[in-house]
Amino acid sequence: MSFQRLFSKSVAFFLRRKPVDDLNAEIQSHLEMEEREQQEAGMAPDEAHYAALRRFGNVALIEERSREMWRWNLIENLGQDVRYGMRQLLRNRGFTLVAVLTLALGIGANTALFSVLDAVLLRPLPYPEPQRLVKLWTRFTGIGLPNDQNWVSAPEFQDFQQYSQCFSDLAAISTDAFNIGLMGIPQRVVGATVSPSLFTMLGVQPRLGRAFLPEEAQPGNDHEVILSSGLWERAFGSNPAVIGSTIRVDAVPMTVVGVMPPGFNYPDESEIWSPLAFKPDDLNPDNRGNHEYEVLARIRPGLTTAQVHTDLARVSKAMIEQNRSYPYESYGFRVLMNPLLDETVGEVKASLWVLMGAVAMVLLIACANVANLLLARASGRQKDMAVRVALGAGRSRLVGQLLTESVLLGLTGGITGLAVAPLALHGLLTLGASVLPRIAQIRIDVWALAFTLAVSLATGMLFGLAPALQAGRDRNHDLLKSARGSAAKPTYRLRRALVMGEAAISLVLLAGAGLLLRSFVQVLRVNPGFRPEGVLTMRVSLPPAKYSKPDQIRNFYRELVDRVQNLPGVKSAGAVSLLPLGGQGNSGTTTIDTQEVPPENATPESDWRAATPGYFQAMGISLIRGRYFDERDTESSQPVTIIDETLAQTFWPHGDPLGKRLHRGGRGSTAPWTTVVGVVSHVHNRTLEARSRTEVYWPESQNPYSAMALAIRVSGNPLALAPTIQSVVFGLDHDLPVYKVRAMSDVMGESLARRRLALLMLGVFAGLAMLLASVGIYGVTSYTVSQRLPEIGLRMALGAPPAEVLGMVMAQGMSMTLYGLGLGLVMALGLTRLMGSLLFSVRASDPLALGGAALILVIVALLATLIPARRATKVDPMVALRYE
Amino acid sequence: MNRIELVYGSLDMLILRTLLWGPTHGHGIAKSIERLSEDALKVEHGSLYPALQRLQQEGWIVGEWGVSKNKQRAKYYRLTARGRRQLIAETSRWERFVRAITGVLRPAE
Repeated sequence: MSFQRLFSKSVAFFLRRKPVDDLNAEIQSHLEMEEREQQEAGMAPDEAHYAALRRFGNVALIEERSREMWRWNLIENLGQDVRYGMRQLLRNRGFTLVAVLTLALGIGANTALFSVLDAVLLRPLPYPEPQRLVKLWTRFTGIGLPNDQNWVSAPEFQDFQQYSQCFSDLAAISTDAFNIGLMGIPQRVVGATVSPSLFTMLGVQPRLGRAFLPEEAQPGNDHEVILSSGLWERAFGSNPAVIGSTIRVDAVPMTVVGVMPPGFNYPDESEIWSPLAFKPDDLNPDNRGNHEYEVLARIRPGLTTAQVHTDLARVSKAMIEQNRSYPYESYGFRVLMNPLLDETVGEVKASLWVLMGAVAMVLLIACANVANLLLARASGRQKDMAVRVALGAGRSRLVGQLLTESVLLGLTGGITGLAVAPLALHGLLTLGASVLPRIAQIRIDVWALAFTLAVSLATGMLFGLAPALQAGRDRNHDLLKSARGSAAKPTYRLRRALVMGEAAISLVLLAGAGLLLRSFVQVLRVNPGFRPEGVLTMRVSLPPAKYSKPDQIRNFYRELVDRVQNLPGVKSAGAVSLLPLGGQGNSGTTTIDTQEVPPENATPESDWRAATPGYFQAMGISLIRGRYFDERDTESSQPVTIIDETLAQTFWPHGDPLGKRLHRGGRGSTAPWTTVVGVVSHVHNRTLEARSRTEVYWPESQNPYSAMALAIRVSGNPLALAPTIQSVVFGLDHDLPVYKVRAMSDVMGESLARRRLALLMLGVFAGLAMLLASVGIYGVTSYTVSQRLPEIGLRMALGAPPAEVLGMVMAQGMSMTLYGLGLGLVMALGLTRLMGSLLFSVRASDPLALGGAALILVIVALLATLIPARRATKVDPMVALRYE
Repeated sequence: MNRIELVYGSLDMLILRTLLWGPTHGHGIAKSIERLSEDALKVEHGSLYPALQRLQQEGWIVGEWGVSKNKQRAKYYRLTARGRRQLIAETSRWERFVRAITGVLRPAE
């Protein structure tokens, strides 16, 4: 329709009365002319009038039918189209079902995953101006930390406060867990000791009471606590009288001064906060290496990132210069800064983006499949369309009707998708509960839903129009002539192209899943340095108030380990300050007394652990040289240490480490020398994938730690013995809870949780993609068979064996697949590179993964082409030939 | 002779053909068809009007109010270029159709 006509029609539409009157006048004039003619033929005026009317027909009806011709009667047409569309969809139930399911899956999965992505990565943190909140770290190169990033010590924190100018505020944080005596039952609650300024920095006001005052950050004044909303409700029944009351925290009476608003749990699900007061010992320059705190800072408004970095460089320099005795320079020390959002979500970022890519691909395939289905149906509808055109249907009417059908299909798919999305989200959250941060903030994102709906609808409409466009082009009513309808060449090629694309994308996803699987297997193969099967672990924390003297701590643990070792079913038992795979923490500078390595390189940052006798045996850490700790090592005997094999090989590569010495702290530290009496296998203290530091163990009797983890090797199911052990602890001290009771194999499993989740999800998506692609292959192959039926019949009538027909059909189907495979391999080689951070000791172009993916795709495609091919061989040649 | 009911699409063709001779109004078209078909095709005059509306929609004819020879106001229709092309296409299609049917009914002897 030309622009002029469209314009005049629009005008006519808006000046609606005119066409109606116009028609009316026209009909009246016709009647008058006929009347006149009749009169001239000799009829009387009255009779002529009626004769004219008779000749004409039912005026009102005619007027209505004429008005129908005006296509601006959209609503009536629409109603008709909708009814017709629904009938069509219901008649072709198979088609409708597959199309709707495909759309629903694409929409649902996509929306769910995008919602997770949005909440976790894209939405800002719930604090004012979160972009100015950063975490500060210290950088020490060459000590085996990821990104060379280390925590901050108390003296260093003071330096930050003193030297930096770009921050409006700084807060030090130490997360911990506390024993709270609640209603007589000891409970363990996660919390943090924080600088009072933390709450103002995060812009958070207590819902009850007050926040900490600056003077409460002094030792002695720090016996205040603030509760979280959750804890207040759970343990204190939301009683406002809790403010000002006293509760026992780690056996120390503390006053409750405030309750935080619901939803505030910074950092790390904290439920209780107390002020951080540095003791004079913490600030001792010798303890500059005790990196135990995290630091949060708020950048002053109006500063650029460049200015902040300049300031930090200045601070680093100042710290190095003022502390020459500390080996800052040799470790390339610097102050590092990381946006808070990155910290919260950084670890999952890569996985989530990869999954997002995967889901987008699945959506692509879903749309391609829907397009394919519509195109397939289009060829079937061609005759229908041709008849309509022959009967005079205008093209716009046809288009309108097909559009309605497509929209109906799209909407049905969309609504089903709306139902699928929450289910998919629920599944995601359940699977990823231990891995996804900010879970409370994840809900279905409306924009994601709208977007995927729009994409699906657009695809539906675009490809649903194919038959109309086809019919419009068919000027010769060719379609009416043949009983089957011609094989619309361009449509067929398009369908093949779509299927090729689907196969390619499926391959990419399969390859990705394959790579993740290989990485996972490789991680499982890593020797953790200990044997987790059959080991039960739990943590106990002795409150300093009750166990203030080292002797008390020593005696407690000695007694505990002794009693546990004598329980039936226990093979060996011991305690350690921090379990393997326990994350970062408990490390420090260690000075090694060695001649084989230059002195400036002999002060590594090592993981420090205190262990009781029996620990190594319980954990299954093998002894390489020397001996384990035993009863000989007491507080009055020679100070001894056990090192791991990495430390042995690094600092005494040629000699025997046994008998050599090392001590805590830097060279200037006054800590006593300890003698090496044993070398054990290296343990993965952080994660299985990451390189961990060298490890140094001291006997617990010479280094009492109030909070230790028990490791108990049992015969049989570890968890079955848990209640017994708990009662032993209870027997020693009624106020002590045990917490984090877990089998060591579960701990190992948890450390793999993130990897497992990514693998599972990508696997699901790859499977889905392959399923959809196989449906596409099946569809196009079936269509080919129906098109070539006469040829097949002819061949079979001429005596061709069924195998030949089978081969012919399958070759067609497989050729599509193989082109798609080739394309997919090229794409995979390019795209899998992006997965780099998720892969572990596997190349992005790993031939096993790629080859496996290709193999699976080929097998599935073979099956998909086999079914229609078999149908082709069962065809009765006579029927096939007669079909034309 | 029985009056043959005109099929929807064929009516279009006839109207367009009639207009080929020159612009006419609805009444005139009806009369033309009757006369030329030797009265076999009796068009219920009213059925012309929906067809005329549709042909206008498709852009094959345009209508303009004018004055008839009897000083009566009437809407005159004329063929457009597109309409001309449509007529040619339809006509050739129709002729092929007729040939085909004739070929079956009366095979060449």
